Amino acid sequence: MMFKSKNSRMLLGSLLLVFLGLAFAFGYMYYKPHPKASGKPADFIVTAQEFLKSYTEDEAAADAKYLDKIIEVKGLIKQISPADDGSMTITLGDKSEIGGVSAALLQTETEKIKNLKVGDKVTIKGFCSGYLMDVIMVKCMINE
Amino acid sequence: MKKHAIFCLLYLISGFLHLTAQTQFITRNGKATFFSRAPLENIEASNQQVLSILDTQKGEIAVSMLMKAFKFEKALMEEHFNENYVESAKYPKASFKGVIKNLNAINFTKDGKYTANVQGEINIHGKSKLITTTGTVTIKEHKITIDSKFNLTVKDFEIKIPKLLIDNIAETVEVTLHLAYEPHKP
Repeated sequence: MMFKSKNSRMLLGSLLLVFLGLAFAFGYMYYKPHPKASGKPADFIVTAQEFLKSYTEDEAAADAKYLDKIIEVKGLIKQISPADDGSMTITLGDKSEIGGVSAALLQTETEKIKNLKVGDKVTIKGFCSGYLMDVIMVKCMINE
Repeated sequence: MKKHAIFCLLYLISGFLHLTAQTQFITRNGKATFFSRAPLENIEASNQQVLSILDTQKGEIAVSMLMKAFKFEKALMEEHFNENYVESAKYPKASFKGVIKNLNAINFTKDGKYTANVQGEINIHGKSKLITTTGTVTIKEHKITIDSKFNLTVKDFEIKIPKLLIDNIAETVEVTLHLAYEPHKP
């Protein structure tokens, strides 16, 4: 009798452990953080012109090289536009060219770009998402 | 004779104005959001890097966006969206190409709010579908903004959702577009 109850207690204990483990794993997966460019070395360091040029010349090849990679881009600010969630999107590039590099900044960067204006030279680090008329970057940090 | 000269001049000026009148407009920072209401949890994502070109003379609208530029609250949702549902690696872009059917009802040079009836082809996940929807065209101080809201059925684009998650993701999603245009200088 004693043995049996000890056994069932152990069973109950291990079930509880398994359950806790699963709950923890699920919670971890469910709330896992977004990938961050911060603190990681860039896979590629380019100028806005070079970056755009590789996309206008051969989009497929550029995608193969840059897509989802961490890219550090240097260039002049062409446009700053706010999104309605409080974050900002900065476009880098040459004013005379139709395309550029569009970088959606993380919300944490909004404060940092307060004093920046069109024409300023900046460095942006983030993930490359592909190309429309501009090369599109997301989850970007500025002048890290 | 003098009168004639003035008329000629006016005619020339008006002709010149007509030729240079802006008919192409662009935005690269358009916003697209989608919202899925489901019993277990609502899912919302937004993309603020939407490209759109509007031709007010022909009444043509083209919209293009990258699936990977949608922002989700949770990283896991973003991952599932890109890898399992829309397969962004295979089909990186979503696009729309359409025409305003009631172009005569919209005066792009006069401030006001107009309803545009838009018909066109939407392409998501490599699948195309004809849609008819309405948009609100707002003209304010020569600035053109188009807002539109419509529902899309996930099945129409052959996006497969695992049975296990069917309660988690609605079968129709509400799409909202906000496009604030600027004159396009080609």
